[in-house]
Amino acid sequence: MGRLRFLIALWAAKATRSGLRLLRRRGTQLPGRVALKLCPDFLARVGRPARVLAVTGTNGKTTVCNLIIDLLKLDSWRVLANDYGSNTVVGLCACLAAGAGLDGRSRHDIAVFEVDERSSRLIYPHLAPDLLVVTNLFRDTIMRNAHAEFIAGFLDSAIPAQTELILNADDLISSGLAPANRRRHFALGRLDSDQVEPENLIVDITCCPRCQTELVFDYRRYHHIGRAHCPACDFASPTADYLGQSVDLVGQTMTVVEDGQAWDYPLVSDSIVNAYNQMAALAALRWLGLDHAKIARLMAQVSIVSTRFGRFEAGGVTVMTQLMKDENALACSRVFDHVKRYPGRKVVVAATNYFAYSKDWSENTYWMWCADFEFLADPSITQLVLWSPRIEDVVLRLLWAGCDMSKVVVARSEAEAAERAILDPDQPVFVLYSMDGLPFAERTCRRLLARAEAQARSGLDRAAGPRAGTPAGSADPAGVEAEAVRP
Amino acid sequence: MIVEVLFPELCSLFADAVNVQYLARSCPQIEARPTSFKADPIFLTTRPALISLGSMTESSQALVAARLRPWRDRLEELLADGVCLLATGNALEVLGTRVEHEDGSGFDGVGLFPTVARRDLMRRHNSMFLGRFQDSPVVGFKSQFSHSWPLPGAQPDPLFEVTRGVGLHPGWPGEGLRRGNFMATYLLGPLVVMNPEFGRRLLALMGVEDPHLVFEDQIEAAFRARLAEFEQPGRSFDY
Repeated sequence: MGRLRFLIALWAAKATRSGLRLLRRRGTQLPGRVALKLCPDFLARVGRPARVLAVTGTNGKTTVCNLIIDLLKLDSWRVLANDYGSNTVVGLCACLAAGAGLDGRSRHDIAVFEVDERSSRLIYPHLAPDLLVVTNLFRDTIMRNAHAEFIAGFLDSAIPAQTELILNADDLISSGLAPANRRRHFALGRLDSDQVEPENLIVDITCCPRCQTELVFDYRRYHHIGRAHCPACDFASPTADYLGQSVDLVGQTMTVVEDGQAWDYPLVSDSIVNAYNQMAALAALRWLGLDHAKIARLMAQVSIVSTRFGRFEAGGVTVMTQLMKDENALACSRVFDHVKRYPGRKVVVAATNYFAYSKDWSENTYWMWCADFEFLADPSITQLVLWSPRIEDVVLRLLWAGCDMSKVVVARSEAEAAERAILDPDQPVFVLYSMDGLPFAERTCRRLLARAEAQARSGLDRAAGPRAGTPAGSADPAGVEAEAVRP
Repeated sequence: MIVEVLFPELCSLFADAVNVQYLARSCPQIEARPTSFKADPIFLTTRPALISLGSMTESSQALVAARLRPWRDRLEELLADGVCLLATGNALEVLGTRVEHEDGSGFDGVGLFPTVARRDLMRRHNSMFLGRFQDSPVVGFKSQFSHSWPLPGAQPDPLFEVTRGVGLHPGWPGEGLRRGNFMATYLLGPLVVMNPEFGRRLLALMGVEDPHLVFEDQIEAAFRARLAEFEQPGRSFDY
């Protein structure tokens, strides 16, 4: 009876998926809901590939998953993945249903699943991964994830005893997960930019989890990422089994050391964060038995495409868009840090805060006092154009951060933000946008590029600075209609 | 004028430390002194003007309660002497009588307030809060795993009167707890930054004459904007 119920659920899920595809919808959730409704233990019954690999963590899980999938496919593996779907239990059910034959058996060599941390308890008891890669654990949004220790506890209670782990040795929170499980660690060796003193407001682990003595950081990379030890007991960052050394972000190379042997690797991106992601993927492929020479060859054929970062040019001016993940103080801090460290002078146009909240709720702005707005006070940022439903809070926060307010422009409309930004071929413009601010970023980017092109065509002098008194929405060179003064 | 910040490495989870930093930058006579978890508090030998304790993880709550419990008598002495204490977020629970977990287990709090907190890690409460502190409005946010209840027969004084939102527990007309100048509230993190009048009154209670805050125009503008939103009848208070 159970088997028949499962098959009916499977066929219903497949039919739902086919129907959704006819309607040109992806069908990443509904087939899973149908399967679970008809067969609550669907996840335990559906055929699984010989090996199941899961990737979780606060940041980088999508990138690591995609890297692993791309590399395995290049190596001719038949990979089942939820790379276009939901990373919750219904998403995995939908994915497994799609990947199974009509008899319920898997048709793939391996499954690579991105798993939301909070969905772990619903997934792992029924679908224990053979290998779990944890990229890192940081605080995320307070409303859902509370704090990093809470999520670590959540994972600890969900990770099956037989699951082997790939963990980040430079992250003192996730590196200690499920201590009884077999594990391998990856890390990046010391970098010139590492520091001993904290530069960030958020440090999610400061005390020894065993004896509560304040940890001594040998060096910090960002937030709690780095290496530390407890001066009172033997708690310390674990030793890495896979250590990325001589990381050259410009030349895009690194050396990976395992068991005393070194291997040259290409870097697939020019950021440290993605170097970590690459190390996580590399460690997973080593666990699957691929040798370093082959992994390095495969790595040379892939790159990381970020959907959260865009780069455009017109009239000699570079415009870069970047998602801030508003409400997530840590994600915002990483973006502010990136902007600050970007070489040379630059202009920032920032649409902070949730625009949707300003209509129905009021955004919990505690995160603004955890995020490193101090980085925006950096002298290399010559102009800061703000457009926000919480502009009073943003200005207060920048005053508190010690920002030179003479370089701050408070735009009264979205169009005005684009109109008043300095366009200078020697200064890239960063357009930072919140979670619901993508349309703003796109429109602002178009306006800036159109202005830059017009400026180059007319041979006008470069804009010398904020033009006080420019009426809101007075110019719209991109042909986009001016926005209302406030959302 | 000494302000003691208790255990900042554990107890400033949600930017709670900004409260004291803001007060200190507003009043040059304030000397903010952090006390790490392993050190003995300054209040054992000195009379600070204010003791501050902020939000922490659930595991830290038990540790902090155990650390502070032996000094309850000294804290009572300071309370009777008019010393101010400000606890934000779940630090409120640590100062209560007990924290109970879902399975009935738990730990004893410091016992300064006659309350029991009941924790449910599977249900996070997120909401906005509008209330009054004496005659002035107060705004804030909540994000917590627990609510607190007065012990049977106890009638603790609330810190704030509820206008909209959830008090000490759903249905209770007060938010937070107050005994003398010891004040505890579930409102999160940067309470002073969001409520300039509360900040000024706190400074006055600490003994600052004619208190003012830095960036006063801007902090007032931010407060007025938020208050106007919170007072709109159609605004939803539960996330």
